[in-house]
Amino acid sequence: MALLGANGSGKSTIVNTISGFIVPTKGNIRFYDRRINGLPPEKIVKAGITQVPQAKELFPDLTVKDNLELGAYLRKDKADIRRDLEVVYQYFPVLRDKNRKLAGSLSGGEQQMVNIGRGLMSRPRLFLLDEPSCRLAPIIVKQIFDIIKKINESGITILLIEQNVRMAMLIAEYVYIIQNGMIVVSDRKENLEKKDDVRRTYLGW
Amino acid sequence: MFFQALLSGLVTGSIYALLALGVVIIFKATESVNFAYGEIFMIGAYIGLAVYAYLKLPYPIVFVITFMLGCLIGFVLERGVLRSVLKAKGEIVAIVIATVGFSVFIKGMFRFLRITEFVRSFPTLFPSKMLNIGDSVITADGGVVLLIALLIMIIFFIFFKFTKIGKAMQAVSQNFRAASLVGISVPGIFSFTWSLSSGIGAISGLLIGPIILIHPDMGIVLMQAFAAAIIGGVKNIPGAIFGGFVVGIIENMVGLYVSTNFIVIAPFFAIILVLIFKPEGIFTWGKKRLV
Repeated sequence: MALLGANGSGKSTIVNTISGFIVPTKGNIRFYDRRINGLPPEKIVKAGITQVPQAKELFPDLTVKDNLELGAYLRKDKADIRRDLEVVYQYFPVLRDKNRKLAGSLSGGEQQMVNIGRGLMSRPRLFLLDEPSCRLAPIIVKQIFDIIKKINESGITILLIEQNVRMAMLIAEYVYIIQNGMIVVSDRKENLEKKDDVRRTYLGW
Repeated sequence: MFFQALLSGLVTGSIYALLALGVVIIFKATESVNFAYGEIFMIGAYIGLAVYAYLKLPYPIVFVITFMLGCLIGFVLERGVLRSVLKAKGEIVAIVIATVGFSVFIKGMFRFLRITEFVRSFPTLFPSKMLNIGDSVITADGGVVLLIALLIMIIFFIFFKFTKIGKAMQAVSQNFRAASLVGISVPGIFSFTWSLSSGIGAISGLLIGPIILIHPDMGIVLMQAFAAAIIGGVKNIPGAIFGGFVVGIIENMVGLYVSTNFIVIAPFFAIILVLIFKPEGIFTWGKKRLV
């Protein structure tokens, strides 16, 4: 699923509310039939929703490996954690080479990889990616989106928040568009591509 | 005489190092300072005294009891006082004020309850046992203090680097947002850090019992702890330990070579020297807070 919208339209607000950093004053958020609004962030992670934030929030003085392993903080299945770490290294081979380096010393693109990899390590049921392409070089953006698609194909539900409409539309199945804090479009991608007026109004082509 | 001063400095320095450790782990994790820390140190000494000298329980049990009570005080302080203060005011300065208030309260209580009239000095653990190194002497009590303090530091180091909670503490002190994102309960770690720090403070009070006179104002040692933390770098754990020994040794050197009257301000000389020649690891923000 892609959540698209202009700057300031409320995308990050939605993500942070889902993750528990913002408490809604009205309304409810349900996840698999369970009310989750009002829960603290750590309980949201426990419920299976992992956020990869827009800013590359890392532990700069810990190694790449430590950073990734901390993604599995709530998990107890050691063997599976090791296996998942391998999967992450396969998605991002450069992290395997640099796995003993301090996360703070990596480049922007590499830090984003750690960000995403750490999120994967929690084996989320819902993976929230907040503008993963933000401030990255175009070549890296393409790489990251390819990997996001692969992650989705491996069975993980992804909610992708993006300003980069073109790339998001390439890989999304379902699209939400938010404007001024309200969801104005919610449809399958194929249908949207056929609805010319919606496309032109909200997506610009 | 120099060597004697060095030895004595190591002994008192080990206590300062433990206290500095407690100061630094709170500052690193929560960016706040516990100004009641000296009083927790003092309470630790009195608990130790009450349980060891009066109830006559064996020392290892006294150790455990003191540690747990210290942790409890820290926990109650954090959950009870600080949470409400933060909710009401939302600023860390409020924590400073609240802990200063707590410190004044405790000292007043001890005076009011006339506890000072009951207790004076901690019985020595190893009466008249001493170790001679050349011309210098170290009492067995002092040696034990040094050894136990070092042992505590080693245990803490292992805990911090290799256990899950230790890693969680590191994570929270580096980036608490990211820590939340991986499922670490940041408020939980805050409580844990305050408890642990207080436990260490109380233990330090117990340890120093046999060596110095116990009185309600012994919390003034907080100054040395702050000095040690600044010298080592306020967010730097090995630095805090190093700083503690430095302060202890400098105090004794100043007492030996300058005058005993100058011992009190020796820590400040050390701070000034460090700030002039090697201020890295010293955050101006921390400096403003502590000065």
